[in-house]
Amino acid sequence: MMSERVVRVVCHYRDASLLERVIATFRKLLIDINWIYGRLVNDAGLYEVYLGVKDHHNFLAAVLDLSKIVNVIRVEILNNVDLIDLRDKGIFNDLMHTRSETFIVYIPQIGSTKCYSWGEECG
Amino acid sequence: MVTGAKLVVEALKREGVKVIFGIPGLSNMAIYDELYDYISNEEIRHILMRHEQGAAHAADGYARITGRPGVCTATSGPGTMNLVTGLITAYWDNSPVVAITGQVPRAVIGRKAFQEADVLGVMQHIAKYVVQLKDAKEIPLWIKNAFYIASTGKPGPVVVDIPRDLLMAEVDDIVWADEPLIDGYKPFKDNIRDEDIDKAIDILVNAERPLILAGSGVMWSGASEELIKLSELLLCPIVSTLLGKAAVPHDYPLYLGVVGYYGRAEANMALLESDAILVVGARLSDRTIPTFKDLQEGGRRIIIINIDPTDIKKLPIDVDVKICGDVKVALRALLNRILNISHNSSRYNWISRIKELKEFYAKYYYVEDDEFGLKPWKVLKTIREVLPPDAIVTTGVGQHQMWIANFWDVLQPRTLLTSGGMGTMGFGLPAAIGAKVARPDKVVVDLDGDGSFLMTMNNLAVTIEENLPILVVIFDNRSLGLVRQVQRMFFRGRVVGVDFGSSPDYVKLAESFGAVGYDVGSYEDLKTAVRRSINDAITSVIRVPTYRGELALPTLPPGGSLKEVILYDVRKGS
Repeated sequence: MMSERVVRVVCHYRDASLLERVIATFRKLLIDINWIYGRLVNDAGLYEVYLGVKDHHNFLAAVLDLSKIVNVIRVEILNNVDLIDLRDKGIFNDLMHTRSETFIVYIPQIGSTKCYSWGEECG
Repeated sequence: MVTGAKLVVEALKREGVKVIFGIPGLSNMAIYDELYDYISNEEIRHILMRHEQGAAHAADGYARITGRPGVCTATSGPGTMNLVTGLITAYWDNSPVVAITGQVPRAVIGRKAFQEADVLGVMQHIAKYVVQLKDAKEIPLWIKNAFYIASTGKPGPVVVDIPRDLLMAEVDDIVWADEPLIDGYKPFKDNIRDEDIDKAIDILVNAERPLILAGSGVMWSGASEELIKLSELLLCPIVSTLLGKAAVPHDYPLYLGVVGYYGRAEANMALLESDAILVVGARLSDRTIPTFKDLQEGGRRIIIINIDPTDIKKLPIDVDVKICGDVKVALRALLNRILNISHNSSRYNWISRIKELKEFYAKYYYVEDDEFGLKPWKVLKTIREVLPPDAIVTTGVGQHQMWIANFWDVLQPRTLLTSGGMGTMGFGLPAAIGAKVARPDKVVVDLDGDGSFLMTMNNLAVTIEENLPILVVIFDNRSLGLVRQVQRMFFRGRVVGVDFGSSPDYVKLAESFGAVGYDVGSYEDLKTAVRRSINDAITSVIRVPTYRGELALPTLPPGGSLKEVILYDVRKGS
């Protein structure tokens, strides 16, 4: 399996086109997305999106492009990430009993991050 | 209480909008209803274009001349979708355009309603930003935001999509925003560090063969004067990108021309021979630098000034000095530093070499007439002689654009408008309309190809009815010449799908619109026609018959290096 890169996008939600733009930034640079989840963090529209994407020579270009999209506050490249499969934690036992498919939630345990905002390294 | 449509028009007026290029339809009709009074009072001028693509190009042309956002409007569905080509053209060339589009009412959005299109879905990929409004009260703020986003950082088009019910809605408690408010937007900041300026100066002063590569950032920043001053102080020759050509007066003796795929051979050679290069406001697209090996070879030192730090970081080359900031501010910092140090830039050998390169390649370009009719370089030279130095020239896309890239002399900054990044055929005439609206006092000329002109020539009617006299010169080779050229040179001569027949007759076509048509057969005829057109101040179409086999040279083979420049047509053996 190709190695995976994980990013966190901190952004402002106005409508769902925000998510389309985030995804399209990778798509335009021919990068496949393995998984994605996001959530509205607060009532002021702050939103965070996590993506696991296949490593690619265009990866940094995509992050830089993403960092300068209107409504995106910053993009963090999460390094040394541990992805926890919650099946192992027994949290979804009930669900697993009733459904045949697996249900995996990735929770990045962050080792270090590199952050970009409007093309500049930050944080 | 006022309507949402009234808020739109009033907000545009508050942004200083004097002209709107557009076409009304069901979903933006309420805006036109409010515009009625503003147009009657001559507060805002409306230019009725003949296709929305032309409206976007005209707004783009207006923006490129004034430096301020041009405004266009279209109705929902097909109207807005027709803007797409124009908006992506503006986006690729960093031109600030604000498009106000009507949308179907919210009650029917997403139900395949009459003239509905997914504007967010489409425009988010071809514009700097698109917003669909949810409440009429948002209109003043988002019009302000649109102008701010369009004109700051790296400029670009912004679309404000407004459902029809919001335009019709009655609004009280109107809040006029004094400042833009956009969550998650900030213009690129100037990050010009003293140590980078010192390092850049050190490299440039100590180089034996330094070169400046000027991009469109010089034009947008209004930094032509600073650029020339720096070149003079350093005795540093200048080459440019296609769009950067508009930033450098060509009578400056150290300017060599456009570099790149269809660039001047001496410009490409100077780049290859340079030992240090200062890239100013250029993103180094594949059209300018077809292969980065050319830049990286030979230990050349590279300094880049760009307002967008990602344009530098994304380059697959090692950059010695990265200066992130506005071009004018950065060039002034370099000038201030260089004026405070003692240096002796004689560079006799380098300047002699530049002169030698210019003279050597000139003999390939300036071939006098043969049995193949009027020569494009001489046609351009003839027109240049007759036009005032400050005349504004637009182009379409194709062979004629490449001839202009190499043989048109820009004498004043910001007097050449062309679609560089997107290469959009049909740009020339509507962009000329935008330029003429912006600067009615200037002579505006669309130097076009027949294929390109035919794509948006319906807008000739606009020039007549709006009293916008424009001179159109058509290099008529009855073919999509550049495609034909590539087929002949690189597809084994299998010419297919490119040649036109005898239709149309351009003189009759011009006359049918109320313009004047000329069919010229000699350079003297051409000169006379151009002079008459300028004097008569009426839109004129001058057809210049052009040999179908004429090539746009120099060129490179596909994916080739700047070293592989092709200078002449091998079939002619000259």
